[in-house]
Amino acid sequence: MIAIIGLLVGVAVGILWHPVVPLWLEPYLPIAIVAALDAVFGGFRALMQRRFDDRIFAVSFLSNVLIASFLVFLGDQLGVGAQMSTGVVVVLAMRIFANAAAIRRLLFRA
Amino acid sequence: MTMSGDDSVEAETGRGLLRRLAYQPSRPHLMIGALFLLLGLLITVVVIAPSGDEDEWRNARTEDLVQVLDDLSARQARLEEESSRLAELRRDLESGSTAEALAEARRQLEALRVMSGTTPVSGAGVQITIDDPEGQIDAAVLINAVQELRDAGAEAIQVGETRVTVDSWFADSEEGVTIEGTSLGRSFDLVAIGEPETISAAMSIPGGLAESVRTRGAEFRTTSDPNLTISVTVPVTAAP
Repeated sequence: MIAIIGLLVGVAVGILWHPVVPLWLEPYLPIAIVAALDAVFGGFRALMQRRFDDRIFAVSFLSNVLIASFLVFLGDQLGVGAQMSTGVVVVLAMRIFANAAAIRRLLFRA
Repeated sequence: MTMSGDDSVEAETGRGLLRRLAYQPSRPHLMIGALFLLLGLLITVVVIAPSGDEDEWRNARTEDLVQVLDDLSARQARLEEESSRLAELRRDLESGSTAEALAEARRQLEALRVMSGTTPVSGAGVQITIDDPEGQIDAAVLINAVQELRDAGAEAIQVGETRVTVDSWFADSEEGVTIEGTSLGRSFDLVAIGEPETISAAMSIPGGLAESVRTRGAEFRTTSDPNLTISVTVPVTAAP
């Protein structure tokens, strides 16, 4: 419940405040979102399996975001930024789908 | 993925847990709520960020931008060159005597006459002979030939005894290919006025005219000639 409220408040703040993101940070935002979504789905799956731990969730959320951004940064420095972003997104999307499948099985037994 | 066998039991408790969490928030949930707030903020920022045209380049990478910049500067150089040429022409026309304007008009008239085929043309060019004993060459090949000659910079083209102009046409018939109704027989003579080296090179590139003619079993010969004349003209007709 709090998670949904937090999400809505975040969206509302984003719309009202309209923050200006520094230019150098901009390429990493989409990757950071996908990484965070991966952590969210992982956390939800753990919750369904009654293995959820809020500390693990917080750490995985932040480390996912940081590692994904770092990989893209590294790719940019090596001159393979576009490929690296694609690779990171593909891997994270695969994890999200795997987690979503597990959640679906746990929640609907289907 | 390590899925345990007792999924069904977990699903029951999982749903119960969900329901409980929805109504009884506890302290660690605040941290999770904060993280979700961050996520919502990120999504919003990314989704509503692109506004205005200049943002199109904001997410582009350095190498892409360099490429775009190179293209633009090359284009700018070309356009500047053309601009200065036209400006010079305009200055000549405006400040110069009527004679100069007349000369320019004559030059354009001459170019248009050559293009429309109403005047004889002479100069360096290429003579092309296609011998087609088996009758494998059809109108499409000749249209292609004319097209390739024009692409290679031929100013004037003659096929058989006919001057090729903008409204020339080829057709297939019982006796072979005809140009504007005149049968060409089994052997085609083409004369093209233009840079001979360029035209010869264009004819002999892989997949070019020479190759496509030879694959049909016909013979293809070109002769460069510094002094060719196309004397066939089409009558001048008044504009409709």
